[in-house]
Amino acid sequence: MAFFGLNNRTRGKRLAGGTLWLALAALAATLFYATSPLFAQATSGSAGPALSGAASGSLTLWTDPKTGQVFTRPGRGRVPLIINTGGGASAQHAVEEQLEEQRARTAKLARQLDQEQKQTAAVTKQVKDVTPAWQDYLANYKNKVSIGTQVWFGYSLFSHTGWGPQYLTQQTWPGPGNDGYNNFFLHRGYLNFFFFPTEDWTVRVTPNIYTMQGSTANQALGGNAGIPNTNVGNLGYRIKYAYLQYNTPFKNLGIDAIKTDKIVIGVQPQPITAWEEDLYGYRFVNLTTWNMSEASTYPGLSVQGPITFGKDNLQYIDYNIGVFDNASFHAFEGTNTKEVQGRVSVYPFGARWRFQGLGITSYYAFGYGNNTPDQAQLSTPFKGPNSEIERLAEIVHYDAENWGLAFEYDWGRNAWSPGNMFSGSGPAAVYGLTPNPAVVPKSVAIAQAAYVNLADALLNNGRSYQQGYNLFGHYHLPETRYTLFGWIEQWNPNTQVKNDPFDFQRVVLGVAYQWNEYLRFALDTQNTLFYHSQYNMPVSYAKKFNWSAPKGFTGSSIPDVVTRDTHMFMLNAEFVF
Amino acid sequence: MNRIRSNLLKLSGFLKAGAMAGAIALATAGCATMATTADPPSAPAAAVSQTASVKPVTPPPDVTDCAIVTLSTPTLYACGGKVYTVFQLQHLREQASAAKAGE
Repeated sequence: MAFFGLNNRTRGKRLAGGTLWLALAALAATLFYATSPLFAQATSGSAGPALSGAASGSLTLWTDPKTGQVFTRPGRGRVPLIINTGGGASAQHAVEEQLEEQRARTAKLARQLDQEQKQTAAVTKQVKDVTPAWQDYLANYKNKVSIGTQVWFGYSLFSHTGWGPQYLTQQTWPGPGNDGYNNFFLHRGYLNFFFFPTEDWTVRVTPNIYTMQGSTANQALGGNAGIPNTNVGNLGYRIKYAYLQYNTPFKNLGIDAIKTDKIVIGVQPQPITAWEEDLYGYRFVNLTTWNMSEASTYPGLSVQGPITFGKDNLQYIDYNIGVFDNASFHAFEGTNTKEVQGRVSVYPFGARWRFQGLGITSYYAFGYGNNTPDQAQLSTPFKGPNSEIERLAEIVHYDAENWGLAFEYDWGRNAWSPGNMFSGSGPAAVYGLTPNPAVVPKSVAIAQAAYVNLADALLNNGRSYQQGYNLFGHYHLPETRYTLFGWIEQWNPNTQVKNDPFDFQRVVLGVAYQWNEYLRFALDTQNTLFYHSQYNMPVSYAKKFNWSAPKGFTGSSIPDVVTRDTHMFMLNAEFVF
Repeated sequence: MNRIRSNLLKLSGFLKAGAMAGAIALATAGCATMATTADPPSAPAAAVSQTASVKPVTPPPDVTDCAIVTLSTPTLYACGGKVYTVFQLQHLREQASAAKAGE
């Protein structure tokens, strides 16, 4: 009978030396494969499975006592050899228990992992939900808010100082006898805030600097101390613009020509000045005509916009019509009336952009002096402050991308006061002050007072008529960053006066340099020329306009009524963002 | 036994041959990767012919050649019949400068 595949001859040779080793090897193999049930065979020698006892924890072999051979089956002369396997089944059971325990632990870990994955997915979803909200907010904020600035700064050098109107807002200088006066000054410092909550609405808030000027009185502090007045000369901030603009009031009327027109309510630009400043392009150098006597901004309500026609949507009409306070943005309203202002610009050949090509513009304003009703009717020698006020401008203009030219005719009624005449510098008496007697002898001071009374008489009498002519333009030198510009003007503050000593011409000539899209510089000369020859005005003529002699004046003529010219050079800078 | 020894010898010879083949392959691969640095330089790119059909690049609008439409935030300029904001003009200018620097 075969024993592990060896033939009888070979087995016989090896039995003597290797019997025990073979038995041990068989035992080891059996133990190693003890997971499989080993079939027991009865000791009677019946055929059957060779090995048995694994299920019960023991191993039965057969051995021949004579030879010492070990057999896996019973046979003649063989006796059972029972080997105790030491609880194989229990070991198997223990292993199975351990495996079961391991399986349970693994299942638990798998459940935990699944739960954590679900939690992670939930958190990820939450983060995804949150992030787009922030992104959406920032994206919307970026598209709904616009913040910028507009800063104008200059250096002026007066070769000849004199009395006259301002060249620029916030600019003042000492009177005659102060040649060489020069200064740096900031004359505009806008902070522009635009909000576009929806396409239908725009909100603008623009603070602007102004030079504080007020009472020069110092103030007492307690019973034995005083403090100086620190207001004068400081640059403070005030509101220049604060308005709400309705962008689409006419959008759904079915009239394409006016679908982009707007309604504006609040402190806003009046119809002529801001428009003309953009047409001229060099407002950072000098004021436009009506801005010498009229504020650029009023509280009010206006309708404005282009009127377009044709398939190319060309602009044929641009208008701004509104009703405003009689008081400007830096004064208290006192009247019980309102001022109406309107500008209409016609472009007969159509304009691709705002000023393009030939345009004809008309501007008209009708209002009243800013005075309360109970005082407006009082009898006064000079009714100017209480009078009806009219302003008119007719402008023919042509604008191309590299040059522009305009001619303007202006007419006004009670639209020019001594305050406008001397907004840059004027005699002390214009402002109710007494000149320094160490500088101005008494006789000269009296003459100046007579001159001031003449200004009141001719400019503030409530029946003055103004007239002016103006030519302005610019030309960009090709292939350079330089542009030549100029403003030449004649202004007659009262056409009712023969040989009005206050008639003047204003001449501005300069060259601008464009540094980049935001920054420009200009070097220019600005001159106020009182072009009449000097003369003494007879008192008899002056009295026709309600002139009255100041205290101490006894002459028959008012001496030297034509004031001296003012000449200035200026270096200007503009930063607009 | 002799057959086994013979088989073992054959196996040994096969293994030696395979190892040598593998070594040769590796060496060859290594030489191949090193050889790129010693490759002959590629032929220079052909110069762009003056007569080649290159699409002309339109220069961006220059703010000095534009007219003011509105002085505000942002300022608007009209250039070539179109209206741009100052941001758009700046962006176009910087794009053109960058493209020119990269040429």
